[in-house]
Amino acid sequence: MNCKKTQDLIPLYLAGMLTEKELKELENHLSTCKECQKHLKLEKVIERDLADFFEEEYKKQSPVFPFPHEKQSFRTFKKIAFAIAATLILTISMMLLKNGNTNLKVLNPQIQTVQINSPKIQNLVFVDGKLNTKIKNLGNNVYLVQIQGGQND
Amino acid sequence: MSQVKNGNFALETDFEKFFKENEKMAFNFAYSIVSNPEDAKDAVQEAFMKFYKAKDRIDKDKNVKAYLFQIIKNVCFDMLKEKRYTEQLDNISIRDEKNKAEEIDRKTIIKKALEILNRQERMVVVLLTFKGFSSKEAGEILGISDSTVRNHFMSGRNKIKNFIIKNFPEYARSI
Repeated sequence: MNCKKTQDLIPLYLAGMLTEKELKELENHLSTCKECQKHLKLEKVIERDLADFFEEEYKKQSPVFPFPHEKQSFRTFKKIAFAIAATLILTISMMLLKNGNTNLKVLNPQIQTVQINSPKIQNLVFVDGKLNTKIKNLGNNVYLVQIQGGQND
Repeated sequence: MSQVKNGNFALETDFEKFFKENEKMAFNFAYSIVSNPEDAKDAVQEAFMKFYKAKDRIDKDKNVKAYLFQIIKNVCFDMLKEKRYTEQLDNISIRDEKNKAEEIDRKTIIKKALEILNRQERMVVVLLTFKGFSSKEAGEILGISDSTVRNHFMSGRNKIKNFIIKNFPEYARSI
């Protein structure tokens, strides 16, 4: 096998696509030809760089096909609070102070509906933050908390 | 995985596993056709959806992975038709690059080298270089014979190498 043929076949050699006869002849030639050994080395570098190129392009677009459970949580509560433009209506579970104090502290706000036994709620304080809220008693001990702006840290 | 190989997707999780295992190669293959990462991503998404919708019609005796890649190829070619892409063969200004060779990084060199291949060569190079498919499977995906795959692979890879040696001797010398 001459140099030209050997160099042409090197990519097939690396991909394991040579026939037994070709493989034998190519390896025989490679073992003695410095020039073709250089080409083999270069082809290996090209393969590596091709892999790196595609890997980098892929990473920039990854995940290419995100499954629903992989999507980042749509919005955290904080972000919702930031984003409130005019009125977001929430019903919030809350811990009541038993001494009849009408200022309530919500330690762990969650978007959900609960029924509470409470005196009339006049104010609502979010721990570590300030939100402008409006409380509405819907009856049956259900309160509607409207967040009108502000920031909850 | 055996379930997936037989074209039998019993559970949604089988699909997810199958897609995850093939996502990167699917992206690379789509990229080799549309030559643009954003379009490649869109094409893979569309192809995966088409594959999912066709799940009941998948021939269990067929190579499911090759079938998925056939869909990707078809979606990409439809996309090319829509966008009226043109081969970028003529857009390479080799003389300019020669002067700037030292400023160009290896990634850009590889990108330029890929651009001088024709589309068939690029597809075959991507399918075979990363050991994703055998030449027989690549032929099945592309609708060409085993020996044509071999020829495209050989000419594609040699074009890349010769392009680099000719235009970026620093790259070749640095190894």
